Amino acid sequence: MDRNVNTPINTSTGWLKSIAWAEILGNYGAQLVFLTLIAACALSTPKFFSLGTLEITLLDVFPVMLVALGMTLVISSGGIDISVGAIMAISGAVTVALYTSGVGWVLSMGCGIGAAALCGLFNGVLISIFRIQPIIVTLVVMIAGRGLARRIQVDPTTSLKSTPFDTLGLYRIAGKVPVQIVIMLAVIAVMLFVVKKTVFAKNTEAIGDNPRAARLVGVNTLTTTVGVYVVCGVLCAIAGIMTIARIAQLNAVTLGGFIELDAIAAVAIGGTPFSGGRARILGTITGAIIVILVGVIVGLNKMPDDYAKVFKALIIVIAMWAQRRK
Amino acid sequence: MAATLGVTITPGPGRQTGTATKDTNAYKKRNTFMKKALLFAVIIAVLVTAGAWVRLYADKGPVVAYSHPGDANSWFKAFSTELETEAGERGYQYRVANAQGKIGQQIADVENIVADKPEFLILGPITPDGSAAALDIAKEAGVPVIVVNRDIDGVAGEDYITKIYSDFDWIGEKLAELTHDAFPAGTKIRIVELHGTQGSANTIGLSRGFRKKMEEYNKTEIRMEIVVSQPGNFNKEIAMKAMEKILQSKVEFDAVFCHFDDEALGAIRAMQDKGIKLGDNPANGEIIVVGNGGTNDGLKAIKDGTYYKIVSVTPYYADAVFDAIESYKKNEKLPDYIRVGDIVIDKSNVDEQMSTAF
Repeated sequence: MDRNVNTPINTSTGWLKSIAWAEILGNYGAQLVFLTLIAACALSTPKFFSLGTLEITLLDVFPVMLVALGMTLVISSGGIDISVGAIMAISGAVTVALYTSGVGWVLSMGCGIGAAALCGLFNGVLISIFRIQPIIVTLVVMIAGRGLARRIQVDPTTSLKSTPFDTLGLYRIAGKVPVQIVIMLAVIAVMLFVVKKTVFAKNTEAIGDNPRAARLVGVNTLTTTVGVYVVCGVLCAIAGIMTIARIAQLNAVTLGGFIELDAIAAVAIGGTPFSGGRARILGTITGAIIVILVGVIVGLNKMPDDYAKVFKALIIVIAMWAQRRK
Repeated sequence: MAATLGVTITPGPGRQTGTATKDTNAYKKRNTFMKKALLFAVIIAVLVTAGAWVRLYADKGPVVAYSHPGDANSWFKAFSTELETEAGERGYQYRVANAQGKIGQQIADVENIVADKPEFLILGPITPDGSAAALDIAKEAGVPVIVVNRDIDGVAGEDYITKIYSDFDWIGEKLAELTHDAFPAGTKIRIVELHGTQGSANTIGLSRGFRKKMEEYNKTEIRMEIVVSQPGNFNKEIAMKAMEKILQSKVEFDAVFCHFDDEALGAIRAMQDKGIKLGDNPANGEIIVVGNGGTNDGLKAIKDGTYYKIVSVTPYYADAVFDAIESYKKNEKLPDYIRVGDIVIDKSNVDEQMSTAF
């Protein structure tokens, strides 16, 4: 049961032995896999090291990164959220429905994010008050949410050409850096701060580790659990809205489809234990990039996307093996 | 475990075991009440839905049912809306079951439909082989079937009455021809293909037709070549991402051939983001984009000159479907396949075609 990975290493038996290889592999497995992958890419893909490749990778990674960061928090609280894709679709559908009915674009986006926060609230309340298993609650939201998003949208696809969203999606800060990349860096910074420095994250991990003990030491499990799912929902909303802006089209059926799988894979590769109790943000960041990078490499080598799926599975297995705890 | 979190559990003075038990009891009571309330709400909802459903089915009149393959795009929306209107105008009751792109669901849908003994089943297959099982179910129940939207495996006159849809092979050939004719004689044409969902009848037909025509042109001298073929899955987002990667991989190309407008629009957006010139004149270094479609956005792109030419895939053939139903009732001989007429849409006729956009 001892999950403490910060045990001091016995340094008296020579420096080479003092390097706990298992420890390094366990703690930095994702980073090691990442470096290996980069090396493999550099060998296999011509012109791999270029700003263009970096830009494409970061643009592709954007939605998965945001969702995976939220997912890390959720998983560290001992839960899981498979409704993330549906929440993306709902926020997108609400935003576009309001915008097309004449509401200003900023307010529409605010309402889209609000709708996602409500979904998160629903998840959190059902999980912490009604004590329903997180996978069941979020499964319900996943199924119902997708249907709801389709009802809100009415049309199968809605064009956002020549709207502020169109401009926003391709906007480059200082004419160089796509806005998505800047948002992503900002979210990463905030999440790192939250997880490393705030009581909220400590409470979340405490709940994930042992909910009863957490309650007994005075952690408010209700507000913390709700908070976790709301944060996850809001991150999904940002991912969803920026995705529809990027393509200048809303398709509530495909928006955020299967993103929960990529996000969960990113968290797994990053080494956050699924039993809860620990959020490894840096690991998730690496994990998200790995998950997407595989697809980019396959695309750059003009191979069919099907290979990416097999490689992804392989990498998950390798990462899990590297980080296995004895 | 507590050490991991850096906190030590010491029994605080404010927390006594007595109050904790009391709290739990109150919690349990509230929980049972909520459970009962929820159950009650669910029962009410089920009853209301069942009531509405029974009312719906109490109407009289001959029934035609459409098994919708479930593709969520503007084409299918236009098609099913027109089918419903046409059914109403000709005095039929219209039922629709949406298979959401799942073959298993479509088989179940057809089982439910034939159990109600409709006069006709209009079947939009998901894949040619997978949906063929639905034909057997309808045949066993004695419900005549008209196949629409796409091809299916089966024998006309035996498994189904007739098939009505666009000729995707022809569309593919026409697109190859348009691409070929856009370039001056003797120049090489390197083509990027963004294809549709693998295994779907339109993807198969479009690829086959395009390649067949290409080979015909290449007989005398090799000019046309598909340099990259990537999935766009009829989806703007997937196509845009695919095109971004193609551009980054620095493949040189002169034309883009897309299986649907949404793919073309995604590709156009990716190319515009990189400042690539699009248009109708390859001599100026402009990329030629051709595709199958006829959507609102597609026609707008034709108008602003970024999309070169479209071969339409019209969703407006509900009248042909009901004409076939009525001929069948009069025991008239029907052809095995009724081809829906498609046209080329470009700058010259885009304004008049705007009303047919879906």
